[in-house]
Amino acid sequence: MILSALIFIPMLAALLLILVPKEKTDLFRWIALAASSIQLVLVAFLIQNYDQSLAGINQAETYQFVEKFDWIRVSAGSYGILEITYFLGVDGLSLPMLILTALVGLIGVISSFTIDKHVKGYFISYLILLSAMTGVFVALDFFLFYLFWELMLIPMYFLIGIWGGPRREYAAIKFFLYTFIGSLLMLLVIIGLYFSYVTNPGAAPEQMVHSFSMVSMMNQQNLLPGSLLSAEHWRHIAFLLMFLGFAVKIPMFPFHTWLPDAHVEAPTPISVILAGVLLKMGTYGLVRVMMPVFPESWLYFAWGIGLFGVINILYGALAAMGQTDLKKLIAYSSVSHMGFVLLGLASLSTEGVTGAVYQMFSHGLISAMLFLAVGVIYDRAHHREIDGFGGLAKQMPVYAGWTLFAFFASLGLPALSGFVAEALVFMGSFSQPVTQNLAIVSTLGMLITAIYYLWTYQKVFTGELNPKYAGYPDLTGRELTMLSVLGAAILIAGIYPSLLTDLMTSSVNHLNDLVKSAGTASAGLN
Amino acid sequence: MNLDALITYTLTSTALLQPELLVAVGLMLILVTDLFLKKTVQKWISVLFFLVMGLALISLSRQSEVQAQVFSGMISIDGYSVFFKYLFVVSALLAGVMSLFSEELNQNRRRLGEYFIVMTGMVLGMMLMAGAANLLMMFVAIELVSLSSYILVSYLKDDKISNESGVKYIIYGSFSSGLMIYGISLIYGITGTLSLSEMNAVLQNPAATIDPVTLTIAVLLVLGGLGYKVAAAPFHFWAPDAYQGAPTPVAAFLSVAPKAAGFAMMLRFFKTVFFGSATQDGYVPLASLDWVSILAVISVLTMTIGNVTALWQQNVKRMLAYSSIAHAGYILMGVLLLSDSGIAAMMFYLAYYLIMNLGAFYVTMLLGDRVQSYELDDWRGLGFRAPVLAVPMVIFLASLIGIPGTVGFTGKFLLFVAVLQQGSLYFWLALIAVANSVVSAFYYFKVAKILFLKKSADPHAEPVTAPVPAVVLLFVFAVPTIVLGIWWSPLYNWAMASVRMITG
Repeated sequence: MILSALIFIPMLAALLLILVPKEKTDLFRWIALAASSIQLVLVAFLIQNYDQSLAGINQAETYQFVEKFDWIRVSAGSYGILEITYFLGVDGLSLPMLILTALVGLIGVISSFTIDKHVKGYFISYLILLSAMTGVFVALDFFLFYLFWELMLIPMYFLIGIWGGPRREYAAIKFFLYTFIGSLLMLLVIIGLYFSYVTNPGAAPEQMVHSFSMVSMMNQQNLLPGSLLSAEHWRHIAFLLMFLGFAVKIPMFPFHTWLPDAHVEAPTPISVILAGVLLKMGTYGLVRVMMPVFPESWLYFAWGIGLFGVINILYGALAAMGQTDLKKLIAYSSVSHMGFVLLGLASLSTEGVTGAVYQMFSHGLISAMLFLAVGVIYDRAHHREIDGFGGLAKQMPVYAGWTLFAFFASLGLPALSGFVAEALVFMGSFSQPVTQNLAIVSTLGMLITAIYYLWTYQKVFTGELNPKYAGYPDLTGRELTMLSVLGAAILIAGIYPSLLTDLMTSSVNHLNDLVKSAGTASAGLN
Repeated sequence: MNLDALITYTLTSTALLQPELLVAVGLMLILVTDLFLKKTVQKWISVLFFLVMGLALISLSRQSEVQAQVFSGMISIDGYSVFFKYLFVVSALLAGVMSLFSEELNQNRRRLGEYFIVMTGMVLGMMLMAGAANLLMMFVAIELVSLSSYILVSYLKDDKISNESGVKYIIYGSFSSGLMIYGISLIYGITGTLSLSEMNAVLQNPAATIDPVTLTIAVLLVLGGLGYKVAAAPFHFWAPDAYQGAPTPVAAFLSVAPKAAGFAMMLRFFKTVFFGSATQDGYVPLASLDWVSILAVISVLTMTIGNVTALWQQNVKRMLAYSSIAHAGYILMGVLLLSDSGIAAMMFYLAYYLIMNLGAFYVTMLLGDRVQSYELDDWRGLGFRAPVLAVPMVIFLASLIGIPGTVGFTGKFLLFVAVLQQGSLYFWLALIAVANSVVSAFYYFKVAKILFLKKSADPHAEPVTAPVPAVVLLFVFAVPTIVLGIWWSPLYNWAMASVRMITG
């Protein structure tokens, strides 16, 4: 029951908050903090008891901490039985994401202590959001996955819309609609998959169990002959529709335009969650769903996916270079960094895929730190114009140091986590013929990234101190705690990567083999 | 048939129609009570109404095992019709309770007797609609429902808008009735019978020579009458005016119950008359008529017009009216498939639509009564003034959009399942429905935006509250909206079982 506890503790805390009178603002903060701390403890327990040798992916029996119950089971007449299960489990792909969610979620709560408007509503929404995100990373039933995926929309809408900046309404609805379009297309594909797979192939039509279990859909022997998704062109169409649903979340060029708006308008803690965890849901969808369920389509479109990855890297970096708003700059740098995930996954090599998952984790930490850093200066100056500052290092040396650390982490300085991830992605994508050229082009991205970060640092922190900012205090204890915790995590992940890679190696290798063997199988058929 | 046998037959038929009879007797009882008990004990009228509906529920549970045709095939009693009768009675009960909390209606408490009389009459009419297996019976039942609705819509005698909308409603209604009766006469002319099952026999007879063009026209005309009841395009124009003018509980009731009745009847009509044997993929159509395409076009038009027009609405009731048009479009997808799962999805959707839409209208009523306006502009910032009312509203809106975890999603999900069960055949229809859902998210969330994201014009506005019983009723809507959205197998199984029991 540990996974259920992990998901529902924030939700229960949210229910508890409903009963608390709205004047007791401190109580809301502490309850939320308690809930997310418990989450972190539970995740630590998971890591402690996790068996690294088990792969998961398409083998239901090698998932760990599994919970599986019948949820809905109804007879649909001659079409057999419709089955939805409450199916949770963890493997090497979901565990890093859980660590990330719990850690960034906790940091987000601490960062939310400065929220003083409608505190009750804020923390209720925040906790529901936390539940939904955790749910996405452990659900193994498509219906459940979709439920959590969509559940996240409503709290997020309000979190941006009520507590956000001047253009919050626009940003909130834009975020909502973009995601909603993508997820509805995803829903159609989920239903198509559900009709095309059965858990007991060979049974009489009335007895066939059509299940929403993802794991069953990853095993191609469960494909029903003659069904919609047994036709290759329909599989490709379904792949693209579903890919779109995830691409919006990643966000992949050209579906990324909601991200800068959402980031700029969202309050600091929500930006942290958005960049730290929410974007990873998109790429997690790719590894959890797209690659194992549609392996042959993945191979077929691999180059295209890699290409879009490189476009993301370069476009995001170039766009970041042109920004004058600090948050927008980091938003575009997120677009750029998420491109590495796409590139790594497209390469289908051990290094590439490991690097991609590592990048998801690492970028979650780094971008959370970056947004926190921006939040610090925004709380003081109430603006984020890069050109409006100058010389802050003199006034706030500790702050300048941590920001520099975050910038270096983001631009891929060795010994920090970003370097490990991106180096692995380069190695992986360069080693595979399909992504080799792309890998070469993508190195440009790293160069541009270095340029815009150093430039920004220079404009904001060096030079003469703008007298307007002379009275600013340096980091408070709370801010320092958040930045240093993330900084420490980034450093550890940078110098001792096998802590994390050991957790995911067997899953990543198994995933690679699964996708590649599907390729050779279909090549054999042709 | 001699007289004795005739009397016996009539009596047995009557006995089988117990719930309908109960409602009919209750109708008269309320009428008489209202006459004699005027003024002094007015509140007993509503108690009597709830009593009648409660008894009807109990007797419905006994009708559910019956499978019969009574009164010479005029009315079918089967699991399918019983399912719908439950919906009508439950929604009448809920709308009745809603009415007790309505300011508009309570200003007219003097005449609350009439209100419940007409409501009871409408329930009777809908129960007959669900069972009608004969074109004349269909027409009479529809007319009973329509006449009752006209009165209910224009119930606020002193209110100009209410009167205006009543008149508009009557004009549209009579026009549609005229179309329908003309269609019925044509069908009778072609087939020589009014009974649905006999018509089916005539159509199945290979020797019969039936002009397909005339048949198409006739059926389109009948469809006009039915489309009017469910507010499907292009017969939807009455809905926004009627909903806006009607007292809110009436609008709520109109948006769910008669719509369900219309769908119940439409489906029985198509399924009984035009389809021969059931196969795995649905039903074999008779005559060379492409109903499916006609209905598909109507479905697409209805959902698109409803959703797109709703975008521009500034009045919450009008917006909900267009939203209910849009939902009729979604539901039509289930009808046109004519597969078991499609019909079950339709029934399921109607049951769920009842909960969420009554809920949405109920909050609208409570908020509207308190700020004395249904204009969205006057609702700015109301969310933080009245969280107890506004948070459930967000739940209902999410459900109307179809966010998972709510009944609205389950309904849409099952419709999509039914549509995609036909393979790639109706994929385009599913895509259009998806596009529509996205559009709908925009205007439903506009209400949430007004409630929570906008600041109210007066920063020191007082908090808004509602009496405790009114809030309790709100949770009667809100809790099932979530709980039944997560756990829905019993209702689905029931709908599926009812589908198999449709008799001609």
